[in-house]
Amino acid sequence: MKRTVPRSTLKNLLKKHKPQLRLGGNADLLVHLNFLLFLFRLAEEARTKAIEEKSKIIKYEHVVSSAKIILKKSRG
Amino acid sequence: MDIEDQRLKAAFHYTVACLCEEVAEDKNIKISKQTIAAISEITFRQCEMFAKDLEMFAKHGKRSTINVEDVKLLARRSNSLLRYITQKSDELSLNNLEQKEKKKKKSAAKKGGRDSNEEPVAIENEDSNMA
Repeated sequence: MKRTVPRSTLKNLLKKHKPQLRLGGNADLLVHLNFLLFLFRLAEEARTKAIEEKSKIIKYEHVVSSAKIILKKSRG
Repeated sequence: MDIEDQRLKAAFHYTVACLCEEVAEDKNIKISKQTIAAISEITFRQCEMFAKDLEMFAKHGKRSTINVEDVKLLARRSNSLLRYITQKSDELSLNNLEQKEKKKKKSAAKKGGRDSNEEPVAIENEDSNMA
């Protein structure tokens, strides 16, 4: 796994979404942590979906259906 | 402490049963007692969560009093719920304004003569001019 945090990319993404929003100190690191945890949750969910369907490969449908659930769960 | 807990749960259960009865009549279905018990238990747990969240929101705003804005924040996850809550809060603030005006008129007419059937406003909305 990549160990460095793409801080400028994160800041740019946030700027794109909310141009007038200013980030304090190391807030972007916490945003990155949140993002990583989100990815973990998504991976777990997709894997359970794949296992349910007795498939050894995570397919597009699994990811889409789990993304729907996880995005809803991770709303602020 | 424990007896209070029990009484609160019983009150929850009773209210949930009343609401379920209404729904059952409306939809022409039967709701079993176990279902009602489960719903009341869920409601109780959910209220614990709500209370903690509201406390945190108020603390975040450097306040110790929970106000309408905190409740709106609590309902931010679902758009329809947020719309509903906002509409209700607007109604409440309008009601408050009317009550205040009535009180003013009464006090102006009676010169401070207090009426016995004058009901106090249940929820004091301090941000009534923010809507």
